[in-house]
Amino acid sequence: MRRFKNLLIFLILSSANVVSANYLDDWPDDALCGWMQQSSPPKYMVEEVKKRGILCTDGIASIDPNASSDESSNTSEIEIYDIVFSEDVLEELIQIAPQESAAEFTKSFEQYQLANLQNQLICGFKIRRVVYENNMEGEVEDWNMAQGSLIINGSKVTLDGKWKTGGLSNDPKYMKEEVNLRLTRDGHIVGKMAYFHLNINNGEIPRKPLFIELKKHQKSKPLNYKSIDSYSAAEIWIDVEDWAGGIMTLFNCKDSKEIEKKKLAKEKAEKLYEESLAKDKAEIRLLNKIYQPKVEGPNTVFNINYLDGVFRANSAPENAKKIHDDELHKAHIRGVIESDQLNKNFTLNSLASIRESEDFTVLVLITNENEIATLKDFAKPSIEHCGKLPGWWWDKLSFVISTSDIKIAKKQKCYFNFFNNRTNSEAKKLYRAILSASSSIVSYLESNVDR
Amino acid sequence: MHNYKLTRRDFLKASGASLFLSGIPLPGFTNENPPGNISVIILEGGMDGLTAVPPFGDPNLEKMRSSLIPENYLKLNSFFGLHPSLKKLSSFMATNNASIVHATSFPYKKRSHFEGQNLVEGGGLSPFSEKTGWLGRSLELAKIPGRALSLDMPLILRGYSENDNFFPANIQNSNKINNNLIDTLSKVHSMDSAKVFQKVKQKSIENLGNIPRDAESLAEYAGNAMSIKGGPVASVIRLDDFDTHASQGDGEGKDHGERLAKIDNVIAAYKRGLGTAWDKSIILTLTEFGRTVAMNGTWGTDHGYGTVGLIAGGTIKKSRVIAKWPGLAKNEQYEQRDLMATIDYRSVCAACIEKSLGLDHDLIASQVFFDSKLPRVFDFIFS
Repeated sequence: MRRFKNLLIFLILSSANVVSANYLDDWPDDALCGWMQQSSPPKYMVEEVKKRGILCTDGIASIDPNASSDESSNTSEIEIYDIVFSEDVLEELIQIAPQESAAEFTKSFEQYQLANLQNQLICGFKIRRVVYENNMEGEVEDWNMAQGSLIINGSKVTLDGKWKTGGLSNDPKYMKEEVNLRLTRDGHIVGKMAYFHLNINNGEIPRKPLFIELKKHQKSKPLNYKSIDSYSAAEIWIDVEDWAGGIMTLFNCKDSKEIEKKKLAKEKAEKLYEESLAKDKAEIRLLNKIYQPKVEGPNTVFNINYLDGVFRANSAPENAKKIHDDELHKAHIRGVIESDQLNKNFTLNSLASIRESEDFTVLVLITNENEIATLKDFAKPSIEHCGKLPGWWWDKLSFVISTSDIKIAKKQKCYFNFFNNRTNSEAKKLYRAILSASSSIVSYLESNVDR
Repeated sequence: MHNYKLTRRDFLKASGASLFLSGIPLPGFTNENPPGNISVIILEGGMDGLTAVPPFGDPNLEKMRSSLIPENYLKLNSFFGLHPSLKKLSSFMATNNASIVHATSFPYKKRSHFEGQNLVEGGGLSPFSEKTGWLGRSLELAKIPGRALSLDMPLILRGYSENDNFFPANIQNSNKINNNLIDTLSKVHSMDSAKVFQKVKQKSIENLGNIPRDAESLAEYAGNAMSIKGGPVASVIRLDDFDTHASQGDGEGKDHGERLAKIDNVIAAYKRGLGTAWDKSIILTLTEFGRTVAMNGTWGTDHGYGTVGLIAGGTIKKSRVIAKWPGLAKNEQYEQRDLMATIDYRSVCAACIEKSLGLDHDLIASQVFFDSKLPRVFDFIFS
């Protein structure tokens, strides 16, 4: 008997699913939907709900409220309302840009009276954030979100600079292509531009810029472009978000004419400098025979390079009375100039002195003395031919040891050429011998004669 | 049998991003060439269809909600207007690439976000009755599971097979993650937990590049990914904040206007990303319910029933407003408060699936929405 009972229970349980399906056939829709309220309704009940195609809402069954069992009748009352645009509207709609862009704003400039500058105006600009969180008036942060040059042609404003807020702001296209600004007659800058309001650090997800509108802001200090003296600065306030906005400062504005003038002047100066440099180079090459040029600081110093002669004194120098204050180490010197180049020794017996300034050191000899009287005849014509050297007088000859003045060096070269071209070979040789020993004579005077 | 030639390596190479696909379909078991692609923009909170597409031809609109009618709406015809924030959509309508279904909803009337969102994503017969979503089931039926792109893994996309998700969350230094540590951690866990660690490892080595994470940029990215041969065929993007109980506003700069502008931008971004694939694309909005017809005491609207669906894509050849207009008089409203829904939005979803995935309507009705009597509205939208 007991075994029979167990068998019966087993049969009942094993046929439960089949029975339940038949059993659910008699269940009203709402009863099924009541079970659907449960968090995990029995699977066979869910299947039955699906099979019946009923909707359970709040435990209440419903069929699609809008549809009857006949599909065609469900949709038969649906109407198609055709779209009807006039040609003008259609044209306008088709032109709507698929992406937010500053270019969209162009039409909106009609609401402003725009400036029309004759000359291009170029200003420096910087944009700083103004935070309103703690102060209604706003606190300007002390770093530049963007900076560069602002250029105005007619009324059109372009920016040549860069954002410094990281992320996509590093892409120069936003500063170049997504700025659509104009200058109004009353000096405001209006329009639309891509604006990178938030800092994006390396590794952070980049954000697209905001496209903000620049309006005539009450706080703005417009650009006084009519007065060149006073339009050096302007402040354009920008509303961005509730918590913070921006301020674009314009500074150091310059008219393109003025800039052009300066540019031309600069170009001219550069050209002159290059020309003079080229000329100097050529002249320096010509001076090479007697001078060694050397760049010392900003100057080129020419030191005598014609130095194979040596002065050897035969007797002690005799100090002479100074007639002029600048006659340094003035004395009668007696000795011999030994010159390998000329293969000859020359007797030197002359009154000698040194002239010095920041620009030169010069040896001056009086040509009246017997030993160098052969030069006397040429002193005056050489001075007339080449011009006066420091320490000049009609009976004196100057030998430039060193100078930073190329004109003096050129004159010395002129004297050298003058004597070199003389038919009087004695005078020619003597001049060259003294020049070759000039540095040695100066050293002798400096060492042996009071200043 | 189809010979599915695209390998994972090929796909990664072609797409330049890899987070969204872990389940590349197996060769021979997939639909090689689905006819199109489908994108769903979920509008969380319950969008007010009467503001988005004001039926200004209904005399009761002015009586019921004069303060909520946008001032400068675009007249689509003699009866319906379009909110000025939906500029790009209006441009698509002008080129016959967008349509509107009005007075529509999923058959859900209880006005709960929680239940409503679950129902419109699950596509079942009651809230929480399904663990998979109608789009995921559709992908299964079309034999293209796994080829889905999403910001998270919403119910709507869940199928019986695993889909992967995508979100560009390249956190600073995440590429320097210690993969040996992850491997070790993975080994001491089993099954699903281990999978999580492996997914973290996989994502850490994938190079996402500079992808902004606003909805618009993601839509463009998604569109681009879907435009690649062998890429995903479905995507979902969520937009929130449509629960406009207060200060809803009537114009472009107002709360609801800004929300609508987001939808507008997302649709336009999809188009940019899709490129020529736009011609075989369908994008539709989905919201859990509409709003009350009348304005409440806080210049907003409360949870309702009927709303609108916005549809765009190159698969639409003739722009139109599709409606069985119920009227806005008190006695025409659902429970004398809401816009009555007269078109089952499941039918609209079914039509979009039919168009994009090439499935038969009856199959969709019975196996995706479990309602064999679901009306077919395909011809109203795509003819």
